[in-house]
Amino acid sequence: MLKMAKIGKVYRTGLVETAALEDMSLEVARGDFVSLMGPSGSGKTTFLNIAGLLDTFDRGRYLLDGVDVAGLNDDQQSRLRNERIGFIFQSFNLIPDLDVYDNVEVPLRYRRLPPAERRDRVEEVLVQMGLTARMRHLPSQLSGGQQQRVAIARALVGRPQLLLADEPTGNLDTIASRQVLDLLEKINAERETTIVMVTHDPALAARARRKLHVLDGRLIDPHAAASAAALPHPAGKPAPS
Amino acid sequence: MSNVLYHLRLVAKSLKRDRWFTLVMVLSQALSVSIFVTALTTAQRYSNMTGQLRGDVFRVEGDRNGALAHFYKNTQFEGLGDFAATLVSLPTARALTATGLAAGSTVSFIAALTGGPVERTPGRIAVRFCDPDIFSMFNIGFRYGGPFTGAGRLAASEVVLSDVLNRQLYGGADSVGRVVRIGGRDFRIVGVTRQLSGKLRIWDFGVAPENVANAMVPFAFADELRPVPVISWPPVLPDAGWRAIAESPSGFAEYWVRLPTAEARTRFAAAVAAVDPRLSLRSGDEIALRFNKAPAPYRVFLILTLVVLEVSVINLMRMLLAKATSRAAEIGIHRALGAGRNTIFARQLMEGVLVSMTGSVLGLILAVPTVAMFDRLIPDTPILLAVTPTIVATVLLVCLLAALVSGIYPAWRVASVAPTRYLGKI
Repeated sequence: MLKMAKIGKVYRTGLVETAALEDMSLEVARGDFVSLMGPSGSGKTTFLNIAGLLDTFDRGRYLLDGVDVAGLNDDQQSRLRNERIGFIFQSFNLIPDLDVYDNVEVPLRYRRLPPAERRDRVEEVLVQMGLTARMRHLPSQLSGGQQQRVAIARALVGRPQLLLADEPTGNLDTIASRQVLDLLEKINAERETTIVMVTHDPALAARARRKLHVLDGRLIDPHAAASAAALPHPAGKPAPS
Repeated sequence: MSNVLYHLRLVAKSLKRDRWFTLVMVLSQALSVSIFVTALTTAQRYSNMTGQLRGDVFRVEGDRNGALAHFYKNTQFEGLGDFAATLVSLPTARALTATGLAAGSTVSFIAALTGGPVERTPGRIAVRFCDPDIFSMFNIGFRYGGPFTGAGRLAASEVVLSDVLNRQLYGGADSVGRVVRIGGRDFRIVGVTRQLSGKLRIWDFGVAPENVANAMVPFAFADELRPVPVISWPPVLPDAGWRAIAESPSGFAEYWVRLPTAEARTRFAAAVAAVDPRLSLRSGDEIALRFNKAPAPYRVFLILTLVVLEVSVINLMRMLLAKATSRAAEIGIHRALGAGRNTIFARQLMEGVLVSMTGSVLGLILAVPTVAMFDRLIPDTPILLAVTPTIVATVLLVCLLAALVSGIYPAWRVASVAPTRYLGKI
């Protein structure tokens, strides 16, 4: 599903260069559930942003579902992101002006699906998330747990193959956190959706099938690193900008 | 189409959320547009003058190389010399009319007399003495009633008011049938002319602006009313007496003729040369061309309002950028959910154009009272200014360009920033 080989990312501020990722190599198989742990500033979010095509990398190679993302322009990347990836953020990132239904519908709008199909898909996912009664509520009228369920519904409505979750329970209480984790496990099991979850919480990380650690921009998982490093590197191919 | 409507809905929600900010943007644009429209209406009075008259109307003009022209040459009053040359004396006009070569003719001059509605205390009133042919020669339209028709001994005590005077005396109401007393004689109002929308009329060019509000009285009554022309060359002393004025070689009247055929023109030109070789014939369009450009103060005014509009565009650009930046997180979310740079750019541009065009349309509406106020505040603009369809179209075109200019930069800035810069800020 996801193959990264020797990915490097450096942030430049004036004369200061900060290496966020250094030669990160990783392979995640379809249907896998991977947790990513590490201290603040270790490069977890940078990894997630690159994996989600929200950020670029300076060197290395990244194949998403067999597609080399380095060769894609912004439109192609946006389409790939829309069709194959779902995001769940720590701070939910719902659009405050739109009600629950409209928030969930956004990814389908960008996919330009016909109205009837959009309606069916949104209603289906809202039923699954138990949000039918809240369909016309604004995000500000929902609890934290409900908002995160809306965010998950929005991430799932496009039926993505890869779900990227950045601290999905970071703003939730214990009960809501457990419910969200149950939901993610269920999605992973029933839909075979690949999940990569960044978390600080060892208890949550333990529920994933694979646990990886990131430290100083490097992945601490000898098994994963060894298998992905075998990915052939295109000679002379420029790094995406 | 549904996609465009969807983006418009998102834009509307975004604008509604920051409603006060939006209001400030719209109002600032509206104010600058209304001032711009006012400047355009003043300049418009002088645009496209040609074609106002039928093609066979000519003016007999005096000596363009006369002493007055030389006296004022290269001074700020240079136009006065040209102006004096448009006047001829009454004996000259009488001699040319006597040739019988013109299909129609009229003298035309303005005098200040005592007068006004009979039911009120009389005041100063500008009176244009002219012949009935003036109405057909100049295609004069009527708001109410029609022209007076009698000339010479057949002239009746009838008067036609200009639109502006009718507004001053009767508040713009239909005054046909009412009576005005001019120089002690009662005249029945038979018509009120219709102001050409926002434009000067060619036959008004020789008139001091405050006299555009005038009453048109048959020239036949000049002998009885003994007017003193407000403009003449050499100047006529007020106590000279009408008979002396009428017989003098001083130029104080415009003299217009209608010459429908080339042959008539040739024969009349010969007659003109015989009366005075310094005289010449000028066509209406030729005269109009001289006045096609607005006077310098109005041009400066127009340029200043364009500068104001430009400042407003830059201001709007900055405000749109500030607004977009304040909603950056939302843009990041849309990018994460699959919106490409082009989509974000188009939506932001849509927002800028919507704000700018709303302001522009509001500015056009505001311009109507602004123009009316300008008409009242500036004493030497008695010509009714008008927001015509041409002005509306011009303003909308200029504003659409301004909207694109003000919207493109913020849209490009917002669309080109990596979404990761925005996410997590909500």
